[in-house]
Amino acid sequence: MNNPDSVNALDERAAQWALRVDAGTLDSEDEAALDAWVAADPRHAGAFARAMAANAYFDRAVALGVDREIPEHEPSAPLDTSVAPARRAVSRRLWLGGAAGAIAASLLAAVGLNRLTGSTTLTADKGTVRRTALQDGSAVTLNAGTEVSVAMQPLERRIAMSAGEANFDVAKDPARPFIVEAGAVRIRVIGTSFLVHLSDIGDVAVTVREGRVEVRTGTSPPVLLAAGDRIALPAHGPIVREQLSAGEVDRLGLWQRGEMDLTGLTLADAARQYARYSDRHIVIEDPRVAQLKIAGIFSTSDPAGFAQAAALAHDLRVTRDHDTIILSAK
Amino acid sequence: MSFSRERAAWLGRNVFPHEAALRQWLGARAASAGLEVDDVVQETYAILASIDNVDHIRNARTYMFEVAKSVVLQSLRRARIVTIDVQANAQVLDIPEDAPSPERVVADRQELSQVAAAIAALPDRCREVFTLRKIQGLSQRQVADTLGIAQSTVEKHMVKALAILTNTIGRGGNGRNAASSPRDQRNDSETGEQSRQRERA
Repeated sequence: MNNPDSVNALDERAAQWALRVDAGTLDSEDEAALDAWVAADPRHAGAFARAMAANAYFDRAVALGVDREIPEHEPSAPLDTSVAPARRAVSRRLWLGGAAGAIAASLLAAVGLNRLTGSTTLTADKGTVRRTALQDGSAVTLNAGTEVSVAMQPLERRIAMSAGEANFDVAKDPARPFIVEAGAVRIRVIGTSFLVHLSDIGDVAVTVREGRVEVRTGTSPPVLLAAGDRIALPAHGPIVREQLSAGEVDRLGLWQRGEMDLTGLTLADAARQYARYSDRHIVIEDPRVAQLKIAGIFSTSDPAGFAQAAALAHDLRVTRDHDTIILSAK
Repeated sequence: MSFSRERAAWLGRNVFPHEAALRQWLGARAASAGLEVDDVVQETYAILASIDNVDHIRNARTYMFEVAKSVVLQSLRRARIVTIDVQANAQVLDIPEDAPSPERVVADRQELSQVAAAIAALPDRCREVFTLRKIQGLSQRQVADTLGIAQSTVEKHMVKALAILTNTIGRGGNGRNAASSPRDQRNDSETGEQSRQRERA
């Protein structure tokens, strides 16, 4: 088979089942048909598992921003303008024309529709990063363990964040402000890209990558932020505003690509970061080891690789026990 | 469905990226044991999908190779006649070392551009449908409305796109590592012809 476009009938059938399961469109009759098909031939079960795996793999690639890597195509169809790598080149006509329903929520996110408020809940489970396209052409990328609810209303676009970290790429629409509520803080946008971090105890940090954002908390006057501005609003204590370099802003968004920058952190801090992404915990009992510093950008999905790198850098011992990775002095 | 969405995600994240390497490793070994690489790969997936718990698996790549190896060995044991060649091969079923390293980060980036190139290389209509459905997150119905085609046609293009992408990535780029049994070739040409007919229709 020299032509990759040719696929065998079994793989095609398995792909069809996987896509139907993924879309959640199976009724009980379909479920029975799937079970029968899987049971009919031992090869079917494997082909189906493989198709499900591949489908999940491509979902993850999409969540990690594969669309930005796709080489541009000869404009053979009018739709090609909407698939250009530029993130906000999404054609509005396309979205408004195609989206008859309230929200076009991505397949990638676990979606729950609250019919009373017309809002949709998007969740990124532990260990996953999810990018979801919204009906208005905006996109939300959720870091692991983040949940937001999205309400697209005629006069405003409203996102409520309960905890976690999310990046927003907002399609310009002056008539319909984009409002993010993170704890006690409200962030109002016209069209931009910005990052919101909300900690478990209510500390909020907003970093603007592009455009301008207005941040308001309680009754204090709104603060206007421009690209590169970062503002930290602790639950208790003074507000800190700083100007970041482009490199620093990039590093803050690394998790969207499945990476994180651990430069300058102690091993104890790094272990806490990994706990957000993986059930395999890094345990450091020795306080002297815990205080050692590390540097570098690491894959969020690979705590073991990180532990090995740290062990090499500081001449430590790595031991593994079930779900834990133990770092100790030699 | 016999396994959860979480398991599918786990397989997609930890197993599927290594399928091409597994096929390459299996290549000669499976053939000399009289096995189809495709069959071993499928059985490996079936086993990984059906085991109760994957939380204990530290290195999924090694685990996948171990499972594939046991599939090969089991069928060797079932076979009545074992040739000397096969026995020799059973001894060299050593699994290649591949310790995970932070350098994976770079590999992941390369992997992403490989996936991007595979998407770009899809037939035009498949690529359009895949982009609208997966990347932009439109529903099947919305894609049908946008492109002015039937929902069943959207499904056909999606199925084809996923199957092509699965083979492109899973078989290591361009199908070089694929088992080229007569059965596969027959199926391939049939399906290819059928889908071309569909496109003309």
